[in-house]
Amino acid sequence: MADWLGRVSRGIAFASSVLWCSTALADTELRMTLFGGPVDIAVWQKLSADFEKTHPGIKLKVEVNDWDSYWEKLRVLVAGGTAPDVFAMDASNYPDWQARGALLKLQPFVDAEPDLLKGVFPISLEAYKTPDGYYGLPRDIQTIALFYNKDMFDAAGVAYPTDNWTWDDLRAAAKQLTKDKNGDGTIDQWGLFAELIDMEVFWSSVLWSYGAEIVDGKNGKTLIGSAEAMKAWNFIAGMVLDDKSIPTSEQLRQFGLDGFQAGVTAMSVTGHWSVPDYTPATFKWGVAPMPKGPVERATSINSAGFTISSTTQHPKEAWELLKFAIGPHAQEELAQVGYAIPIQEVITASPAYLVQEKAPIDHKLFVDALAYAHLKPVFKGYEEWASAVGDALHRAWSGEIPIADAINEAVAAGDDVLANNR
Amino acid sequence: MSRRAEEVRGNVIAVTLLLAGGIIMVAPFIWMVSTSLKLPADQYSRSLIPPIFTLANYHDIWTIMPLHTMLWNSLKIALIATFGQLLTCSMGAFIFAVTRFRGRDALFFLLLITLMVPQQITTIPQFILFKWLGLYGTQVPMYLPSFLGGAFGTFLLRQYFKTIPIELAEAARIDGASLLTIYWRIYLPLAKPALAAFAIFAFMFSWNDLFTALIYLPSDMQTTTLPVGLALLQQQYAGKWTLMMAAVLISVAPIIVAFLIAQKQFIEGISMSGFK
Repeated sequence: MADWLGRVSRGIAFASSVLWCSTALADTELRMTLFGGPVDIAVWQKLSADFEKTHPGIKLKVEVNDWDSYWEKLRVLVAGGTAPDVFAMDASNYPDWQARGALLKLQPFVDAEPDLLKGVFPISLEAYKTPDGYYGLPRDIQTIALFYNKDMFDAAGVAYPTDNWTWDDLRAAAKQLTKDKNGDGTIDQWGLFAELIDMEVFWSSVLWSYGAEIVDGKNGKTLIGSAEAMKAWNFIAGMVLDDKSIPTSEQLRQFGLDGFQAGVTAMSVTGHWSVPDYTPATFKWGVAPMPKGPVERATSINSAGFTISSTTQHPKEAWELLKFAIGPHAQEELAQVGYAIPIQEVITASPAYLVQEKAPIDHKLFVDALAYAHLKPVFKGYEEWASAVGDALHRAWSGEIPIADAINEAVAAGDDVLANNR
Repeated sequence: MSRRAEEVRGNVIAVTLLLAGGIIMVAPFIWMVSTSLKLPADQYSRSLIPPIFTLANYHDIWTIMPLHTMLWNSLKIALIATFGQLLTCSMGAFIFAVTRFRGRDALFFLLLITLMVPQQITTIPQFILFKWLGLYGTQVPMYLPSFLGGAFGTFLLRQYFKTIPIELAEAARIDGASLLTIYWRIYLPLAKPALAAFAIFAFMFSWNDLFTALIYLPSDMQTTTLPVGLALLQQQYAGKWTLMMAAVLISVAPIIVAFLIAQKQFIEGISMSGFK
């Protein structure tokens, strides 16, 4: 009996010493999560192999989820104390995550390498700056442009959009291109596909081009009810409710979410992320800059980024990974995937971005747009604010209440949210 | 009009109504099958029969993601979870239905109250518990809770057990059968239809569970389940209905098979319950 016990305890001692040794020798394992699709899994498989090669001793695991699942999962992982070391961030959600203390302060790392951000577009860095320094860094840029279906324009005998188009030109063309082709009394071809609830692709650009502003985050004011803004809203409402040249999301549901891709709208305002989706289309299409407004030409710029968890066990290795992800090599690979615009200025000027075999369009146009781009507002409480404003807008676009009432409602609800988040 | 003719007429009306209902129910499914066999260019064509038949969508979906590993993960988890639910819920239900003890009704009431607690409230504590147990990142949190009973299944089966005459249990008791024997040899065989119905519920619940798989499993194609993969597909291929329908069809196929198997039990169970 005693002999048996002795053997077991020696066995346990041996096993645990082996275990201890193996953990001491094991590589550092980093975990990174991001939002995306199967194509992102493929490109990151290659990138993580490259990373492991240049960073011996670090093992990298990358997990990709779709947008909605990603945020749901991240919330639980962070709350449960199992946050990934490095995770993808969207500039709009960044202040909320930063305020919750979930993100590691990166300023000391950045200070130690002053040349790191030299080639990066300054406007993309803007969104990730806090009074306290950086807690995250951008990994791509998205500006908005006008996409048009050449076949539909040809069929209707309408001239293609040009650099000199104004919003009124767009509206007139959209009206001409809105049709009931089979004569059954309902519209089956629309002029423009534009997301009307979220600000990013359409209404923020229209408001700016009319000289309006959206949010004053510092003083907690929602500015979408100003006199200039109301002119912009009336323009949009004219297209949606009077001309009916922009379909509602309900009308588009049967065609999937993107009416341009489905071939039922002649134009689309969207970011470079739509290019790979539009590329396999059976119709010919082109891109043009956003039309000019009465005050200026405007487009929105938004940056997805990477952040490091404040609870990571390996801050140094995580920083190496983040640097790798925003560095030239990874940016070049990601540019080839075709969804985003690289943040490194040199790469946007290189063939890796400009010559995308699968999508022979004017990619430079999206970079040139930086000259007149406004940063998509970044402030604390963004998600809540966007959903409050979105609810009010939804009621206007469905014709339930006039646009002026909806904006009043949106401003009141938006200001409440801002007051609660100060 | 003779009674016979009236009967025939009644049958014709009933069959017509049932047929109409059946067609309405099955039409979306047929449409899904049809779309999955179309070329992407024909995805909005209104004809039910694809203009050109193709199996390319099924091939494409496999090149995009390894569906079989996710199918296997989903199947494994769903089968274990269903087994756990059937076993523990029927045990609890049996005790609540057949035995009498102090506090039984209070306990049962307490069990029912858990039905009112929304999942969102228990998510984080449960997550922390599993993390503390060292099970985070494994598939165990997906099915372990199924072995701890559950209010819905226990309630459903208790109601059914109540319809079995208690005299059967009493007679067996007099003959010297233990509680376990009565449960295993008398109540379970007699409750086959209820068990089959509940098995479908439990299987579907586990099969469709996106959230638990999302938070407990690393979201890589090797460890995760089918709903997570389908959600990922939606991100990149929204609007490519031919591809989506092929993927969805693959994902509902096991549920249909589970239902067909359980359906046989239904019919057997119903024909058996004619005893007095």
